Amino acid sequence: MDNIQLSNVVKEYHLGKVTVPALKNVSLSIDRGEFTVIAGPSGSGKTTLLNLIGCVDVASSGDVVVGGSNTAQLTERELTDLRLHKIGFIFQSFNLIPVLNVYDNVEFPLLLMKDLSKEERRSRVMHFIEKVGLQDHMKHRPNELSGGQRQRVAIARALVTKPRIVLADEPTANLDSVTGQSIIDLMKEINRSEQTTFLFSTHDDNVIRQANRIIKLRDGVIVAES
Amino acid sequence: MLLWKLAFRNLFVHRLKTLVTGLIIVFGTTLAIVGNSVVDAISGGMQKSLTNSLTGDIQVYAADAKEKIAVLGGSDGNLPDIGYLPDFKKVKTALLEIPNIKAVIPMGISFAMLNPGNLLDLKLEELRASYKKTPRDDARLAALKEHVRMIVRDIERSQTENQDNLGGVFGGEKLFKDAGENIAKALDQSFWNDFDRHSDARLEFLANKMAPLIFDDNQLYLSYFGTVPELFEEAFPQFEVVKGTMIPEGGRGFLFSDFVYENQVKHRVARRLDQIKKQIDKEKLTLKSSKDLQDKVKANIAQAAEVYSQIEPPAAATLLPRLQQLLGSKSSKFPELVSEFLAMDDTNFPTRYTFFYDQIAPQLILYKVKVGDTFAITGFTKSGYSSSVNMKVYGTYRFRSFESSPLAGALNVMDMVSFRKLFGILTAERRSETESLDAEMGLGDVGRDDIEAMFGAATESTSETRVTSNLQSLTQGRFGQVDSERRDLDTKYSRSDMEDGVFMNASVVLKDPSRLDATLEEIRAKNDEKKLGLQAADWRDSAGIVGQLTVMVRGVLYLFVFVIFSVATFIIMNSMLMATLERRREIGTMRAIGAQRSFLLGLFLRETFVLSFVFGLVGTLIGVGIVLAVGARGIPAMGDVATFFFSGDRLYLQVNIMHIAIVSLCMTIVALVSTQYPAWRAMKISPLEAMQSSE
Repeated sequence: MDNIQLSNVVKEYHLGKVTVPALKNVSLSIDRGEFTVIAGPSGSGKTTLLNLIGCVDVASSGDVVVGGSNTAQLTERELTDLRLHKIGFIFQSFNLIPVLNVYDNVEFPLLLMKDLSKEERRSRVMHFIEKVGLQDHMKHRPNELSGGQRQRVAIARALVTKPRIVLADEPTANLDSVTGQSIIDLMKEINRSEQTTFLFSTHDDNVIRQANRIIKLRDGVIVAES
Repeated sequence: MLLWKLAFRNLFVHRLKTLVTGLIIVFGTTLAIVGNSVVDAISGGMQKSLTNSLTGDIQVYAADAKEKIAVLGGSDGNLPDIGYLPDFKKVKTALLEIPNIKAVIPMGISFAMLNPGNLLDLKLEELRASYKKTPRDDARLAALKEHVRMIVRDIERSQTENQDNLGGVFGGEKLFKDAGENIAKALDQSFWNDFDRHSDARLEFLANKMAPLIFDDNQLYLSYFGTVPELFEEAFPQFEVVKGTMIPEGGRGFLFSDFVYENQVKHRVARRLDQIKKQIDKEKLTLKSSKDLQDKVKANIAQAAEVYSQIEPPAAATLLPRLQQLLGSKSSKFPELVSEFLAMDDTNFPTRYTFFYDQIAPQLILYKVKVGDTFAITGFTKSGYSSSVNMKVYGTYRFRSFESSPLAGALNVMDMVSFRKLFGILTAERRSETESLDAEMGLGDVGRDDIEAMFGAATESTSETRVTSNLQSLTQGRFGQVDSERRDLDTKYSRSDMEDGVFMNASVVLKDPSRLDATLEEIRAKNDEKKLGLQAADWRDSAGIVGQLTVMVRGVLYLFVFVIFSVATFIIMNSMLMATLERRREIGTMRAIGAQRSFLLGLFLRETFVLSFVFGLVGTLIGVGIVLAVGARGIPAMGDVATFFFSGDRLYLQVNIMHIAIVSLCMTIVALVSTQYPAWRAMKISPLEAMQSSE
């Protein structure tokens, strides 16, 4: 079964009276367990594509089907719920909640899910914190961590809900190359062990090389796929 | 739990902002708690002062009154025209059928003037009495004559000093044109040589030509109410006679309010010394630090003449060495010594105060009207005529536990019969009598000259009663006809004489004051049923401007608290709004991760709730603390205005659960209102915000 299915997706932004096309007629499908990179220069539509798949934005036309649901037909509330249960986000700027420590940041989405027992939450949080190697920093606040450590927290947070898809928007852009590589290694390792679908955007050739599928975007159109 | 954690931490992270907002909330709640408690205490004090004394719980008066009743005066300081009702007995009988009514007491409130005469008038009266006495006390006569000569010399001095001013104002009046000539005559040795032989004529001359030249402000303006004194005493158990005796049952007479007697009738200098002593003893003020007390001492020095001119020369001679010794002064001028004596400071005040009452006060006219005196009191009738009656002062009264309340002590008491005479709402017979008298005397201004002409004062008539009647004419004649019914003073009246007939208003005393509103309704129903022509007002409405004061004070307080809470609301809203803008990405992230909008609303509500709850609680605790700490000891009333508001010397505060409830409600409203807009803005934040890539 297809995990992500886009058909004839158009996304236009309106800046005043000017209509700016961000995606032009994009069709795409991504299967479960893929480790896919969306590559392309700035303004090529990478982030727009991720936003549509991540259900934080809706297409101007065409269908975006995520985990079997056509996002165009969902309410705002249902979209939020879909994000919570099926999608994990890793942001370029980490986007941790500054007033919460590492443990609380990772636990945050589990608390939003409401139906998990305390023990279940605890074991999941611990599992992923250990997985990203931050068991010694659980009580630290984000501002007490390095960039790489923060992104590890973000990865743990994205994975803790056991999503089908993890979306990462330029996850290494704010990191040095060594740290960036370790983050990529971590994501690949999780991709293997948890069978999680990874889809991330980047313009870093080093990252692009390590993907098992590359989708190249230019001016809102898929120009190459390999 | 997560939300609480987030709320607390967000507040903690922005602690400066939290603190500023918090302090405003603390200030607002403290003010609301303490302010309400103060207003309650004032309101309660006033209620007690008024209901247990003058107004009773309810006042009834004529339904067709032109104005609203104001027992203690309206906003313009005047007594309103409330008309009158013809038959008190009927009203009383009807109202007493209502079970909650304990007593109905007839009243009539009015203003009147009385002029006890100036120093010379009084001394001449005394001199006249001394001539009548057998055997003659020659030493006393000599002392009095010497005192009168001294007073005339004072008149001469003040005439010379004020020549220009007086000439301008009074130059046209014969009395003042002739003043110089008359003073010269009165100071001439020959005037005094054969004084004893021509005493009546001499006294007559002095009373008519000299006494009017003294510009003393002796006029007393009194608010009083007419009632049936014994009924009143019965209905208000806290009523008690302080000096003298109660007006005898069925008799005519006057009781001063002890407050008025001590504060208006008493010698000015003595009164100020009393006030200074009270403030030093009770409020721990010092002459050194209190401007108010210093001003009182200055006023006393300025009015030293009111002390030394009242002391007869022989007494002054006795006092002189004692004063010299006390003051360590060599001066042999009595007036100088008195002025020096009155220049008091903290160290010598206690000794001098005692000295004043032991040595000086017995020589003074300590009260302008003495208990036991009969004086003429002049009032204005409804129709505009003035009317005078002679009244005997039986004593002074007060309401126990409201001794220092200017509210409870505002009005003097008069019997109902005198009141009706004075107020001019009497029988047709009396009215025609009044009119004929007026016709006889000529209407309009009756000047002193006219009165003198009428009584033949210019000619040396020798009737013994002349001086007396002239003395009375000083007070009565100027305003209208003289009460010719002196004999009436001793007449006994029956209860029904007192109760039957005209009254202006009536105090209704309830058995259970908490059922006031219900009883008001019952009175209105009874009024409709029996066609009594009444209207009824509770104590607050009927007291006049005073009763409304607490309402106004509370209004101002609420306005103030409202402003503070509005500011708090605005500031919280603003800071929340700032927070949403600052935290756009954080909020967007939460939304992207899967937080519903309701989650954000919850978060914002909790933040404001924590803010307003924590600081509101702190403010409430501080407020309650202040109320408990200050309230138990009482806030001392500084000065007359405070005494007036506090209805006593001290204001005792109490914590009221209602206030805490109201403040809590206000804080909840503040929290809810201030969160609405920021939360709405926050909920509009798109999860796309999380994708913005700047750090």
